Amino acid sequence: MSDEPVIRIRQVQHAFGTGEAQKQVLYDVDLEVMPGEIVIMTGPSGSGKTTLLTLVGALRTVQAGSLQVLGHELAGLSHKQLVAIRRNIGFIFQAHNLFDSLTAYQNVKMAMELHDCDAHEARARVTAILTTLGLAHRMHAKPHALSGGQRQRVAVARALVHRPKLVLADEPTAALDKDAGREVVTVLQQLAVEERAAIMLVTHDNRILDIADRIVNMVDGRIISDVVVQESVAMCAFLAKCPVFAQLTPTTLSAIVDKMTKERHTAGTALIRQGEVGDKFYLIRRGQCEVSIADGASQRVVNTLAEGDFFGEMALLTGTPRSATVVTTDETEVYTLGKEDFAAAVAASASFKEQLLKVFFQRQ
Amino acid sequence: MWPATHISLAWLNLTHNKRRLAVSIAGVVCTVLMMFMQVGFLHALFDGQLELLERLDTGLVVLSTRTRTLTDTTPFPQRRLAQALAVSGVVAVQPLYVASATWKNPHERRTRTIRVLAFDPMASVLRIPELERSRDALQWADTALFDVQSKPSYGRIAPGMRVELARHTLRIVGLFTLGTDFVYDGTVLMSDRNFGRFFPSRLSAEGALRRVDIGLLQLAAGVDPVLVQRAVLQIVPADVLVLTKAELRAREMAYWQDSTPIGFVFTLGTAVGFVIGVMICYQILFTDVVDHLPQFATLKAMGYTNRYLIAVVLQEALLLSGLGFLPGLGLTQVLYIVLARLTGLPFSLTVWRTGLVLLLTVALAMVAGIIAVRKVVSTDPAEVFA
Repeated sequence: MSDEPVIRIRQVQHAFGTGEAQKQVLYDVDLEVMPGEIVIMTGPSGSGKTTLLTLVGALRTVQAGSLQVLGHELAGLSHKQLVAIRRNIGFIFQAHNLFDSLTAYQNVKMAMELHDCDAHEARARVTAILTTLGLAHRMHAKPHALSGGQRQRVAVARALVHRPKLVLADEPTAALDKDAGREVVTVLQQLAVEERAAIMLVTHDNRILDIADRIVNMVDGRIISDVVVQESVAMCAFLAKCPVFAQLTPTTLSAIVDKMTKERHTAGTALIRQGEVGDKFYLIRRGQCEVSIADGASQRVVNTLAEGDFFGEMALLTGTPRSATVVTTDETEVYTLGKEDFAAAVAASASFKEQLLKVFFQRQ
Repeated sequence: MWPATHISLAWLNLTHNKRRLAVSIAGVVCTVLMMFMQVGFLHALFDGQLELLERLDTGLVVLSTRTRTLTDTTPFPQRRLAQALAVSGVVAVQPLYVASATWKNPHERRTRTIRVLAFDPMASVLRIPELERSRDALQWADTALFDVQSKPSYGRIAPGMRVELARHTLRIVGLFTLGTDFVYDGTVLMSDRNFGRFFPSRLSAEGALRRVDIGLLQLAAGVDPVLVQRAVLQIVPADVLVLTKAELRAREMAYWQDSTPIGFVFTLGTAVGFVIGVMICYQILFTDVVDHLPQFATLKAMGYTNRYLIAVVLQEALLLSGLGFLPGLGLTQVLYIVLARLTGLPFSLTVWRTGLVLLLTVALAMVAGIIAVRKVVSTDPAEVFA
């Protein structure tokens, strides 16, 4: 799982028009997408997500910043080089854009013709992908003889037949009913798992959000949140298991998770020290920590914390110095919440403070 | 029923919509017909001018330098032919006399001008098959052959009829076929001796024909006419031209191109046909391109180069021109036969003319394709995502 990211975006800016009429649509965009990851881009229209998608797809020239796709830096490439990059990407559009004059088979075959592949192999692949998509019996039908869902599946087959390591899709299910949309996303999911392809998907269709590994939300040309869904779900579950957070709604929980920052520490790192001023709240995602209190000259271990446990809240709530030292005993991943965000979260729930106080009471 | 390894997108796009294809082909067929008609008329009219020239049984032709066209000759001294005969390679010389005379229609008593061609009836001067049967009859006094392709206003003429030519009675002893041109609507053939009788003004004081309108230099088999031409020009005075048949043909054509608007009119007609053809083809191809713009943009996003897409559109143009040209050629053949019957003009579908129209058809489709393809080139694949 130690692959290079398929997409690595660093400080990408983009503007349309020139001079007075220039309008910037992307600001300081940073994003990484790993192989096998399904990233759903959401955001209001005009937020720049489609522009970002076309930049990643080598359909536009990078104006500022760095954009690496499939190991190639796109910034500064010639038109010809960009065209060559596109061949390794699968594109799915909202409209199927199939040639009416070509059969389903021929439309898919168009994607294979760009790749050096012997005729037998190409034929086998086209047949296989159409069969996988449930179109074996419609292979030689022309688009007008196919249903909307079938057409979109042909378009999906066309995007996937050359086994791209990156698939870019723009509203691929917008024109489809629930079942047809589900078929399409299932195939995408399979591709992500089996071929370890990265999939970047712009959609407003909340019926398919569940396939996302990450949900990236853009507003006004900036990424305002980048949520690793599973992680977020796990974190919410951890928080909800604690009596302290049990009363909060999922929305509030996930808002708290969004604001948390992930940190990794090697074994033996002191996360907080007794007597210091508290600045963060900690939740352990993976690994182990020991809690110790100064007992004269030596440290007395009072507790061991593991995955799902949290600490550091007391100093924030009471304004007193840290009451104990927490040292990692293993490779540890923690999520931290800053003082202000923590205070805001506490304020969000009246019962929150009481709950915490109760917890402290129990600890003493 | 597996499709071919390489998909001919151009062919499939073009033939997908059968009704549109039929209309498109009809458009190109019309263009092809229009150009064939213009080219046909142009050449039919010019071919008529060249008919006499083509019948001359000779390798080289001698003309006065003042003769601009065979239909309006200025006579030159007969001695020039005798001088030319001295050149090796020239095996015989033949004088051909031309005059125009008044002809009286035997039925209506109306007069018209007719061309008189005269030569030694026993010699081979004009390649006219009907001449063979009448050589003896032409040696008699006041006899002539009448061209059946002369305009009807000369009257219905049959062998044995007596008619009036240049106020003398002439007996028609046979018919032949030559055809009309811009100057003469009819022709009679007679012997050189009879020519002297009908046109005494052409006789010298000694009573001989001393001045020739068209001189023929008949060459030995296998000699190069150009070499002989060079040798003849070295010994004859500069008052005559010595031309190969090809040179004379070019000279006649140039004369008619310059002195009549025919060349201009029909060349312009062909050009107009070409331009209309470009517009028709452009309309067809542009509609096709616009209808497929999202698909073309998708191909671009998939990594297809502009060059590939240009090739697709130009292939469509080429196929369209081919699909239109073939039925157009077939129809032209039929129309040429009909027109030849109606006008009496020689409409002929030569390889050269067919090639010319084919070239024009392909060219106009290509021009249309190049204009239409700009739309494909300028399409931004990023737009497909919008």
